[in-house]
Amino acid sequence: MTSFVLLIQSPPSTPANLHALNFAKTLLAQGHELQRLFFYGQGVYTAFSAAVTPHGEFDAGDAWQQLVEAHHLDAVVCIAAALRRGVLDEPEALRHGKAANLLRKGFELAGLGMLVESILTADRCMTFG
Amino acid sequence: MTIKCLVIFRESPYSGLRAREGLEAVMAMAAYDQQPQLVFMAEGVWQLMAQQDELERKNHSKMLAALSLYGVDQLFVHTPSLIARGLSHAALLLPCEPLDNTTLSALIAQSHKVLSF
Repeated sequence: MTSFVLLIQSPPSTPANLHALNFAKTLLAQGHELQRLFFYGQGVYTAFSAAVTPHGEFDAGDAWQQLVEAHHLDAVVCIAAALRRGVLDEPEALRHGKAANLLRKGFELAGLGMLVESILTADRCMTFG
Repeated sequence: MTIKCLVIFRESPYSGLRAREGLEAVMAMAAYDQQPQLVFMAEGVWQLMAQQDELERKNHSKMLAALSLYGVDQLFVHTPSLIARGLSHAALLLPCEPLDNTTLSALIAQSHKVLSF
C-alpha cells in the first residue's frame, strides 16, 4: 500500500481535474491510501457549491463531493487561493462581510502548511494541472 | 525531517496566478525548514528576467530575489527553454545553474517529491 497526496490546480471540467478524479478513484479501488486532497490555484473551484452544471453535462464538483463523502477523505482547499476566488465557508464569509457559505460539504479551508505536511509524510505527491 | 523536493515552474510570471501561487507554496515549505530546489523551464524562464514591468501586480522578480532569505537558493534554469525564446543567461536576475535535458532528467530522478506550477 502506498500513501498519496494529490495537488489539484485545475478547475472542474478541465482534463487535469478529471484525470485527478479518476486517479483518486483508481488508487482507492486498488487499496492505496489517499492521505489528502489539496485543492490549490484554480482547483479551488472544485469546492465551489454555487455553480450549476447544465442538464446532461458531467458535474465534476458533485463527483468529487460524492467521493470525499463516501471515503471520508481529507479534502483541503487552500484558504488563500479560495478567498481570492470567492470560495468562502461560513466563518470566512462573515469575517469578510460577504454573502454566503459557498463551500461544498466535506471540504475544509486551511493553509498551505497542510500541503507541506502531506508532502513530507505521504509516499507520493501527484500534481494535476 | 527534510526531504529532497523539486519545484518546477513552467508558466510566465503575469499570465495568471500560477507562478505567484507556486512561489507561495515554496515559501510555505521554507517555513517548515525545507529547502526545495527550483527549476525554471518553458514559459517559466520569463520569471527570471531582470527587467519586469508589472501591470498592477506585485513584482515577481522581487519575490524571487527574497527567496534566499528563506534559505531557498538552489535555482536551475533549463537552457533549451532560454534558447528557444532568444534569451541568454546574461538576462537573468539571479544566478541559476544551467540544465540541459539530460541533467534535468537526472535532477528529477534524484528528488523525492516533484511539484509543478
